[in-house]
Amino acid sequence: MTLNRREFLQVMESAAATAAVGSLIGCRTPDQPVDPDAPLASPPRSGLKETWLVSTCGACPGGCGVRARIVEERLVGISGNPLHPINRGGLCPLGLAAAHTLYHPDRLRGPMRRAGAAGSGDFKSTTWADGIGDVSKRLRDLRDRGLSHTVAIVDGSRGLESQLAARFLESYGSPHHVDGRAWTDDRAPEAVRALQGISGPVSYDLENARFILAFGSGWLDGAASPVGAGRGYALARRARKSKRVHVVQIEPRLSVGAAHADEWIPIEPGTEGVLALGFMHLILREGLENRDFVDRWGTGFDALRGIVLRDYHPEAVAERTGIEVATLIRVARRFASTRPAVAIGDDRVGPGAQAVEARMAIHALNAVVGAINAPGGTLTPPPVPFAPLPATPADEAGKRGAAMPSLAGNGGASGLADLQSWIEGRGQYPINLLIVLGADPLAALGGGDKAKAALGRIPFIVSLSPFLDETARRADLVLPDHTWLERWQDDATYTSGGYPVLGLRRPLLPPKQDTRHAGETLAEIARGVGGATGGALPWKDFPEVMKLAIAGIHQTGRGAIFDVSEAEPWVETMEQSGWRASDFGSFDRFWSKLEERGGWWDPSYDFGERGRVLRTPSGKFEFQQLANAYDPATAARPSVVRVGDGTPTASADPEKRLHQEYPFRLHLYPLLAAYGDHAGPLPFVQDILGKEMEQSWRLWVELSPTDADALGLTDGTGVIVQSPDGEVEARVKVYPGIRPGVAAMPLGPGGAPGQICRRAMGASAGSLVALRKDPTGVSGWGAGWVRVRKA
Amino acid sequence: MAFDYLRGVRSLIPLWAILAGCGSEVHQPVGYNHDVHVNKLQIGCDNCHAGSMTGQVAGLPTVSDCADCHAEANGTSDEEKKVVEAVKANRPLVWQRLYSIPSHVFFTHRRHVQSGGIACERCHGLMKNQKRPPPAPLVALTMTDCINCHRERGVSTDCTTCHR
Amino acid sequence: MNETEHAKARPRWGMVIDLDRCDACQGCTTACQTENNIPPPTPQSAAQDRSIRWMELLPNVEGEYPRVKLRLIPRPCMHCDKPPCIKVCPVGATAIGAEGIIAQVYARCIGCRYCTTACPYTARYFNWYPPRWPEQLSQSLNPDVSVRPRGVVEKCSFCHHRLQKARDKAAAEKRELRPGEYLPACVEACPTKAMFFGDLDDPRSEVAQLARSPRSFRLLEDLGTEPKVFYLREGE
Repeated sequence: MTLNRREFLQVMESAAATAAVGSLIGCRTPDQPVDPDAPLASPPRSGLKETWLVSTCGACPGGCGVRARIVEERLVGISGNPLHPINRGGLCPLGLAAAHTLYHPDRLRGPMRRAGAAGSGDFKSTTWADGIGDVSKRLRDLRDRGLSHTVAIVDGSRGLESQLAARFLESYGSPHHVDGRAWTDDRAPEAVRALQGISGPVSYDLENARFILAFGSGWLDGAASPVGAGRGYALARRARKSKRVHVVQIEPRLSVGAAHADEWIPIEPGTEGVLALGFMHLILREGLENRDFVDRWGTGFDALRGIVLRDYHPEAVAERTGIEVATLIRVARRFASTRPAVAIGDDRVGPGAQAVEARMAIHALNAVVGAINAPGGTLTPPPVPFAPLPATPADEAGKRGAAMPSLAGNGGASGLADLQSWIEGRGQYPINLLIVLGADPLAALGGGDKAKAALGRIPFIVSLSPFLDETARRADLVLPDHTWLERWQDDATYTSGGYPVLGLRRPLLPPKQDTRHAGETLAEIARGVGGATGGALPWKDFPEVMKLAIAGIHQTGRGAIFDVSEAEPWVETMEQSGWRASDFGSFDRFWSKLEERGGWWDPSYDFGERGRVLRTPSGKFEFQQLANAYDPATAARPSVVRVGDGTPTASADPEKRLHQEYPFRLHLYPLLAAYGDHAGPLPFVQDILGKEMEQSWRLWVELSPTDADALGLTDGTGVIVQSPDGEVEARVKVYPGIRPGVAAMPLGPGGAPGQICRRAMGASAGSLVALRKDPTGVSGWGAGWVRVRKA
Repeated sequence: MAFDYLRGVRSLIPLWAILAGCGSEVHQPVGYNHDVHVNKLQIGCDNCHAGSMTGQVAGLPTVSDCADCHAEANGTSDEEKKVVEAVKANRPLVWQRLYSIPSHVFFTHRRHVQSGGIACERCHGLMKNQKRPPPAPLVALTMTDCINCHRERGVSTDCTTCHR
Repeated sequence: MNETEHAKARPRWGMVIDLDRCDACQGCTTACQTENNIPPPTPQSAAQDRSIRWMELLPNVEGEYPRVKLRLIPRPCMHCDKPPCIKVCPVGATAIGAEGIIAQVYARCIGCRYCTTACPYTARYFNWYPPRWPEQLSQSLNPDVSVRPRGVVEKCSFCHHRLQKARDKAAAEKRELRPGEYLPACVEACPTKAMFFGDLDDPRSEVAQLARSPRSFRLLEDLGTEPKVFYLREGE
């Protein structure tokens, strides 16, 4: 096929004519600042080299599996791993936009020392040798002076990295391992611990439930794994042969979760516990409780029954909760007579309005209908069978330091509040050096200036954050970690069906900046300190630690490498008949399969393991604890509302006074972006995070039409929202789906100046509440009262 | 369809050309002689343009491809000396693309050469006879050429077949 | 294969979105934006209502407290069989293909925005700004999709570049396109598997069956645009 001369000339002519017009394709016109081919400086030899790698999403703790599309060493797309049992190929906006995390313009380029005042953002770059050498020397000096116990680690990481931090502190000689995860409080775990004696998580078997009674907003749009919860919800709605699930959502605001429910019941905030007991009253009065569970696996039920039948008549409950008696009766009957049914408390991380006792009451509803450790009810996922790391070496100095009283008290999420109060004066000695690992305690503490002042009293702070977050801005030294897309990590989690899951996180590309794995940085600091600490983290890199621990899974022979979903019922059947997957082969083969498929899980759940699920001293479900909490005669009853400067109050008077000054009940609800807090703000996510309210980028406050009218406010009016703890600027959104008297605000991360992709919210609504403890030692965020005035 | 959008547009805006260089001449690092390599030595196009049969982009040879034959000088030409020097120094030869596809066009060689059985000459002209690297494409392709060929062969002319 | 035989074998691509499964997470929106090289939105673009979202979650609040209903509907381009947008385009920059996909050819578009006005679903977006990716962010651009200049209209393409690639692969392997081999990015990403995609003319396909469900409806059906995106309403 050749062209003759005439054709050739014709073609050349038309090309010349085109060239004269000056619009030859391939030219970059001023209107096209970005050419997608431009990053490929030299033309590829044959097409574009494309590789796909699987990993585990690190944008939130949900633990979804991801697939990365890498073209010519560029990460051009993240999608879900279809083999991963949590998400089965689906993914939420945070994960989908994560390629922007890797190339984020606000990423730190390498280690830095602060040059200006704390919070100024004025840093100068330094070398890794200098940075690590400096921390090691300071730590060594403190230890030599017998002050090792004045060092603390705020730790927001999970799994083995957190274990490394614990080993570091143990060998070095400090008791201060502080839980630094953002927007957590320990009410939900505390409630479950009181009733069931377990400290691990509880999962809700949404997929198999036929009735979901949800108290609070978090179960669908803010669950521990939003994608996993969404999948469970969708399966319960449509994917089964049995009847479609019925969902009742109880909360003051018509949230996304409530919008998807079959019935939304707006409740007076803070009365969820009363409502749960009101339902219980009706169930008991009509004899609809599950006698088998209550008699065989419960203790103290009669005491509870007495209180519930005496104090929680529907009329009284209706008055306190603002819900009609007829609704109470209808919902209670349907809940108790539909099998299986599950009651879900506000398990989301973040400030919620439910006190421990309310969470206990809600959780006990499950027990009353026999939904504890039952299909379609609540489940207790077994842990991933990691092999334990070898014992931590310790010397005399280390033992002495580690035995000092800990500021973290009983651990848990109260740690940050403890740290703050310790520095503010409760502590017996100052904290001299703070290492911040995978956390942003300032953002997590809320409350604004008080927390900043407290942190400012620590002479030396080291942050390992890959972004200049609020805490890092105030750090003296920043030794940036990789982003999750560039690093190794173990991600142990569970499915809503209670199956343990281990997701493998692995580097998708070499580090884009001069960053280092936080676990490896910690190990290097330890080696620099020397002594017992020098030998505490002896591994050459993080994968070596991972292999050591994951060998435990390999040895059990249980479970399976991720595979197509058909394997699920098959493995379960086989395992229950005593079979163990022996085809893992050698550990090296097991490991390479993990890398190839993304992880391991054990798709079997033994409903017979009562001893694992009920670990109270009695070995039973402790209804007695709930009875104590709601018995007016019990003096230790914690207050439902924590107010003002943190002084807890059980009497109504100060609350009434507060209500006069701050007329609105503050309802904070979680936004997806809050989960991606540590990953840097992603423009795509910031732009859609308030889409259901037609808001984005700026903080807003939702008011009912009646309240907005009374204050003369309309959509878009700039206002100042004030609480006893702080104030923020916001825009008004008039929303009929909100209970009058309630001001609802989204809880997202706040802004930091100087960022190119700046955070959406400007200020964070989190500064209106402060993390603090109630008299029983449980930390929480308080319900909060606010007033709203025009800016 | 009432409006033949293809014809209509072409008569309105005759701007379509699929060639590169923005009108300026393309200079190659070496005065490569296609005639010697293809006609005399019978080396196939895909030896150096690895993707020309099965890839999206035909691609350009790397210096290691040249090294297969030119680790030592085979002849006496000055141009070959440049190649041998580059091979010995393992210095890349930066070939310039003659053709490029605008980013809103989806084109693969695999589809046209392997599946469609179209000869290279149809779009690239008689490259095999060239004794010097041409400063511009021998055949200047316009969208009209694409459409004509698609029509001739009964291939879809939907916008979405090629545009992206 | 001649033209008529070819036409018979051609699929008619369509989408079904089950609102009973959708939990409004907006994964589809983001999946689309990253797949299709949508420029990162900014506070300015949001304030001027100029952020581009080919797939957009449309909220609708009805009623008064406490009988309020919040409906959240993900809206791609409907790829209407009788598209109003095509009729108004003065330069033929948008056209319906033989497989029903409404194409937008950016290089032809003169940015008059008649089509954005004509579309009753507000599915078309005008590029008000030059496309900009802060610093390294442009590294994450998808090489399969072009970047649009300022001044042209763009919209959901049913990710037809994925169809091009899938067809290319199938042709090279000398076989027909398999069902499910071509899925838009939003359908692939949906965490609740609420979205379905396929050939509406193939009676055995999942989309064709779901489109005939008693729960099925289309947006603004009475306009006679014949959208190829079907919704399944909530409830039994």
